[in-house]
Amino acid sequence: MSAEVGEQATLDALEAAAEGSVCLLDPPERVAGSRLRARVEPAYGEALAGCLDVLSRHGESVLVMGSGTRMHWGNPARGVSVALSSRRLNGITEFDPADGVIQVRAGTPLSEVSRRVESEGWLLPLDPSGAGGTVGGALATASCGPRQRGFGPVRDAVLGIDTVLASGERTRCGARVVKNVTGYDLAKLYVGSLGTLAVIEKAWLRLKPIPACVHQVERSFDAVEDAFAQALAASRRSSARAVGLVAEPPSVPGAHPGPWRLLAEFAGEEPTVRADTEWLVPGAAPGVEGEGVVEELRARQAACSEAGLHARIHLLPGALAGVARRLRERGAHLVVYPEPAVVHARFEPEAGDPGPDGCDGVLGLLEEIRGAGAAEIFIESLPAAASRERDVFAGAGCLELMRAIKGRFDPDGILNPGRFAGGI
Amino acid sequence: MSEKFSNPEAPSPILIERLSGVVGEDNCLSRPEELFAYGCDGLTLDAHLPSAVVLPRTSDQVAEAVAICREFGHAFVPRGAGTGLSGGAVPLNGAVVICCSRMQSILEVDADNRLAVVQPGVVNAHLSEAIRHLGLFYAPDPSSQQACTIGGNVAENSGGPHTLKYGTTTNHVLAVEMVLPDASRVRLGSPTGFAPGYDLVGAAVGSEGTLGIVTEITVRLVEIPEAVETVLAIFDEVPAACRLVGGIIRSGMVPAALEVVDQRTIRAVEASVYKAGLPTDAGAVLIIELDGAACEMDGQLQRIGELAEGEGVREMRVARDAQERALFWRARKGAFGAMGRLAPDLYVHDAVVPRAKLPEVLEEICAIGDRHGLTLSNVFHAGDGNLHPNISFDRRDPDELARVLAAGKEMLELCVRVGGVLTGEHGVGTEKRDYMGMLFEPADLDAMRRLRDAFNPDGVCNPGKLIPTTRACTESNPKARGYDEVPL
Repeated sequence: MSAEVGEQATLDALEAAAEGSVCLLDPPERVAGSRLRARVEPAYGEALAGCLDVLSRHGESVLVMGSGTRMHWGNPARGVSVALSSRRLNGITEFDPADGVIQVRAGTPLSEVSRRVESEGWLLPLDPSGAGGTVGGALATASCGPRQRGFGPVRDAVLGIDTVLASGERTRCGARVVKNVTGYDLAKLYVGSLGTLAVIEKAWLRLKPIPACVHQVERSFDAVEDAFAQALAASRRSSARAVGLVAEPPSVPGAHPGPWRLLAEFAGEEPTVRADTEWLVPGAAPGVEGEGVVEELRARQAACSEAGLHARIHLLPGALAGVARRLRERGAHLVVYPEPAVVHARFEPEAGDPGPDGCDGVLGLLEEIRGAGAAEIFIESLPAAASRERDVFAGAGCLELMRAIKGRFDPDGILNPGRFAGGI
Repeated sequence: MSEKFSNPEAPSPILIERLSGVVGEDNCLSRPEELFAYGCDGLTLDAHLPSAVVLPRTSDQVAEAVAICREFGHAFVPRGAGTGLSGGAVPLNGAVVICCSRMQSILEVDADNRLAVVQPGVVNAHLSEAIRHLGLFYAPDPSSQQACTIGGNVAENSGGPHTLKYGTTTNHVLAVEMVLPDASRVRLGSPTGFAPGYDLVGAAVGSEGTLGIVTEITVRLVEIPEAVETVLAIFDEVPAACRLVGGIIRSGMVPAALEVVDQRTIRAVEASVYKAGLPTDAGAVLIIELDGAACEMDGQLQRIGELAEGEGVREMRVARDAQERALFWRARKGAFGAMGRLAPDLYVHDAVVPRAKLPEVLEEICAIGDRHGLTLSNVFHAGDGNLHPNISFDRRDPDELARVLAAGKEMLELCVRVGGVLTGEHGVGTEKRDYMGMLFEPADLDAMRRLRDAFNPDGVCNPGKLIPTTRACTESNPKARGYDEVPL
């Protein structure tokens, strides 16, 4: 695998395959641990397949990306100097408002899809953290934001995916219908695979109806037990669409921490939404419109990745309060979703920590939490100094099986090499 | 796939002895009269005697049985209760059946975290019965839920009438323990619902027992809804019932179930023990079930009533109590049993089409049945576009059987032509394996092979299922083999 695009022949072949969509980067661009010297942006499926065919034949590894909003996820890529962006694979190819399904090219911005489907009474149930992003990126990262309670995980929205394999072969799995067991559910495998198995060309997505009524409310709690008991109960109300707790670390170590703020959005039939709102905040003014609560949760979740170490911890609901209290005492900024139980924790590097990034102590604590019971941890971002030394999928099981799958789908390892668990 | 595991005609006595040594003599069957019941699943057209049947009770015994099969170069087939309808549990070429139906323990119920850990042989309905006192239930509810096992449901990604709101098995499985085809054991997924790395649980659910044998399952439990309303909307014709389904979906309501029963089915049900007082002159009955908060039921019933009026509904009946609700559902869930009155055999088809295409597709499906001179009835999950055209026939009539198979193929071609798929909940198995080319290109099927080969590189686990192979075509397809070989 070449470390740089040294071969003019590769560039010429890519230029021909992508029909003029090769952009040379001088000086090289630093993305995901790579020094990129060229970016290829095919505009349609055949061109994407042609590019991968060229890369495969030339043994050139490639950094697969959408609009680049979550390139800080995953481990650094190995030996990559070409990026393959799906940004120009753009547009809605089919929309069936009667059935509530839509087929979208990978590079289509989520905002564009949302606008289109909302005009017909539907919602796009993809809710990644942060702003921007493409459909392909949302699927490849399986990124979930505050509305996972109401929308479900990303995999639930995906009915079928058209992909291009590393070899340049175009393949399809699933279909446009909402129920399907015809063959293996490869879409589940591609979702969340960070582009290490195949490149997503387009996908059929299942939409949700726009709810008749949406209310947003907020409460504060001083006691952690009260906050978590109430948050979990709120999350289990039938119209709960987003429920989150946010907390800052104590201003100085040992000081009394500030309150826990519970932010909730209820959506659905009006009588239920009113009842659930009244249950959580008796006498709350009904009819709070807009996205205030959800926007705050989404922004706080995204802010976790802006500096320091951002850990996403998946737990059983019953373990949330104890873990969150420990993390807060350790200085974490927290966004907590009670069900499915997920903690987003941001830590500043600690002075005096022996690690290269000041994170050894925090990572040790996370490892303790993982070892203590049902807890799964994914490091969404690390200080750059240490990013080459740590596996952000630490603790991933079944690596042998995952390597076998990677080996079958991408035998030469050219798609995002090194980005996934265990160096896959 | 490797040819290494082409099984001998007669099993080695030493193989039987070794397997008996693992599970005990009472749990290892090898006499022909014992093996006969394991030759097929609910797709009785396709039967092959296994070499032996092993009935383990623990994960260790499953792993040991797999290791012995490998040692003797023998393929094996996982099996649950055998209620599958696509031949997924058929032991081609005398494979050993590893039947998990005696692994029946509910290992853990964690009501606080809303999950349960079960062995694969736990009967679907038994789990919900066991946790009802906690105010929880297990949502996937295939029609065979009184008999089918959760392990079988995982293999087939089973659905059921309430899939519309609650999703299929894949939405309710958090983690599994699996014995891989090399006899090693792995844990896929996590009770938290997230495991770092590829979504191996998502890949394993619905893999029809071709990737390994699931020996323990962690499932998500759901709160029993506060209120349930069940309505029968009685129509003069099927298309009007289908249009109401579309109207309800578009209105933003998400009912728990939307099920259509056509006139032929109504008549069979009303003549049977499942009689529910349905009008036998009705063209179709739509069963609408709403569940959720009690305060929203009245409003939704009213809106559905208005939509139904717009589609010319003849009559609306709202179940007055749980007893009447059970009666309505008995008509739906007993439909397949009731069809036993029409003919000795029943071929239950399964395909999915875009919901908006339901009226035209149903019309054409009935025309296909008529063209072939067959007795065809329809009962289906209309909210999901999941059709079940049922053909009543007599397999002893070779000409009729040939027409049944020809009509089935035509129906599948029709469904694929309008954007649908070959199966929504029954699986591919042997039944539709050779039709996969209708829907998928060779490269698509090759991608599926890549997944299978990562788990099951030498094809020892449930060979000949799901993905077409030229050799397997002539071995198991009842049409290719000649129906005179089908046991009566």
